[in-house]
Amino acid sequence: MELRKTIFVLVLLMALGFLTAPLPAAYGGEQVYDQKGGPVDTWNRPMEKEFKVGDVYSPVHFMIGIAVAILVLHLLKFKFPKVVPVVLVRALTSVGILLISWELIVYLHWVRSVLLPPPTTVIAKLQGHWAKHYLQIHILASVQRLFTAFFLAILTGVPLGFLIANFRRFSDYVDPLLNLIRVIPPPAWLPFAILWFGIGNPPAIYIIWLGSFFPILLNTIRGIRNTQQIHIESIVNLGGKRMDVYWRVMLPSAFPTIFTGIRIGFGIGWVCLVTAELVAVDAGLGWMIEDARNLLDTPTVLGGMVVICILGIFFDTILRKTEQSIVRWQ
Amino acid sequence: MRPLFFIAGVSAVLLAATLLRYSAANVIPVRLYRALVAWSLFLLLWEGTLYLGIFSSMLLASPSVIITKTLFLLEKGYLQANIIATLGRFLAGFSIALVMAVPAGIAFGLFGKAYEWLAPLLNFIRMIPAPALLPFAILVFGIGEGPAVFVIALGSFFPVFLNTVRGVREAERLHIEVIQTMGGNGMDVLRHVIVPSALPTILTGIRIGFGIGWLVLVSAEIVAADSGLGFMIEGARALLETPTVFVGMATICALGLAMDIFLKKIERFFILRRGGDLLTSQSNSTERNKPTICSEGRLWKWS
Repeated sequence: MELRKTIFVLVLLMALGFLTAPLPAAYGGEQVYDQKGGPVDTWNRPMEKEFKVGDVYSPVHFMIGIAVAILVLHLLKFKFPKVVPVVLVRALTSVGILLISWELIVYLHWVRSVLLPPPTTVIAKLQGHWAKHYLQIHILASVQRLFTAFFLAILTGVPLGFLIANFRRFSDYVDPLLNLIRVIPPPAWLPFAILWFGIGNPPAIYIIWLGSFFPILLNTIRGIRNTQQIHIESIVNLGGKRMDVYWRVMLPSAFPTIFTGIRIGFGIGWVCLVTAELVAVDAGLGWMIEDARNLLDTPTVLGGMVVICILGIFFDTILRKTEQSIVRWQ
Repeated sequence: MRPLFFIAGVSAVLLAATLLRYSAANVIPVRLYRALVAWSLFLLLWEGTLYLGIFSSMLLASPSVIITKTLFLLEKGYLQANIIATLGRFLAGFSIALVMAVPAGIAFGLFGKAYEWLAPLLNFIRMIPAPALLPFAILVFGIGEGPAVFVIALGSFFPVFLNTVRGVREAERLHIEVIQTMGGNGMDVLRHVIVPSALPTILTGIRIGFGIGWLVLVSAEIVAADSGLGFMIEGARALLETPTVFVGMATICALGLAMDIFLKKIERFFILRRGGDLLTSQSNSTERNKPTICSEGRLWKWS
């Protein structure tokens, strides 16, 4: 039952990915998008006056605030050791100390704030982008692209892996060609992807698909190959048909391995997404930071990196939790 | 090279293989034969469609043109210069990562308390994909060697570091105590227990780090360099020089493959030298040495 549930969830997610994909993606330039939040230029960039250090948030207050928060956290931990998880305390302390020292080196003018904008500026900038819906456009564009390519990779990788693992003759003919493609790093396809599909979603989807396809394929093959012979034989002895072996033995026993492949593929796809967006698209978080780099808008560059990082952690945590539950079931 | 020569050559190879296969079945193993058939049919299809003008030769270069172009680029020394630039950049970034990650990993593996405090922060930084740091690195270092080396070092740092920490932490308590009982000091424990027992894990980390570093290298060169193979293919793309793009891709692929095989050999050597893992590593290595993905027969037979 567990397997069916998980497959059902996956199919649901897949359907969601495909449903969100044809939503009107906010391509820069095509639609001038939010007029309420102030003037927008042709690429939907919010036009704002330049940020200065300490414009919105005072650096001193920020540093003191974080230091106080860390202290309070430790006091709470000391008072109620059962309630406050130790991992949380450690995580927040180390991140807080990093934030304070980052703010401090800019505040003391050890580093130029153009090259390394302090956290207060980054937060203010991200807030501004959020208020003008600029950030949401790019997050949505990235996530749509990622999910479309990722589910395409699952849809192609798992059946192909199944065929390769089961049919000797088929695999003998297909493997040499696949191996040839597998060893080319996905970013090396970028020039061709642009040449073939033009700037926009298709080249990025192609690159992400390539990145996540092979881990999924290889893990599917490995999972199905590692099916225990005795399980198959017992099903056959009990009068099972070929389809019973495929559906009741092979897929369930390979499923954890396949899911590991899906998680690894997602990680590589995430890296490829950012690479593709730096070069081949006109919307998305990668495009946003590259564009901000061209305008020397360093707070947006760093803010975009933070957003990418948080999104990555979010998806990775979901996949990891699912994987853990699957492994426990097995 | 003329397209017709190429088609004739590939067909001749295919024909010869088929004749050999069916006259004396043991000369060519069946899997090699099938791989040959797949490859040559693929090449014939590729060359043929372009020769017949089904695809525009702007978008896809035929194999014969690619071979001619490779020879031309080699003769001019352009390809060699870019290979050297790429390899130099990669080795610089990768060795920076190794020099930082291995000692740091050993230190943090030994002092577990410090690692537990730092782990959340490292996990946070680890989740930033290395290419996302490119725009920032360009701002800090400028176009050229700096950003690429930085991003490669960062991309390959974490796999090596995390595997080193794991390897050091998995060292057997008993072995350490044996050394200590026999009067060894901390240095002896490090040299005779911890480093040798962590070595296989570290080497695995190095190989994973190499894979990620190589991927990041290509993207860094496409975005932020003024030499190297990635720069070459991106520049050729801008000039619609499709054959050069193919030559660059093939070179990247060949270099990556060669280095991966080299690292696997090193890994295998070090693992084999440790007597304990001999059995398992041998079974692994025979599996790895098989040339294609599919290496086993059918799983079950129908009676």
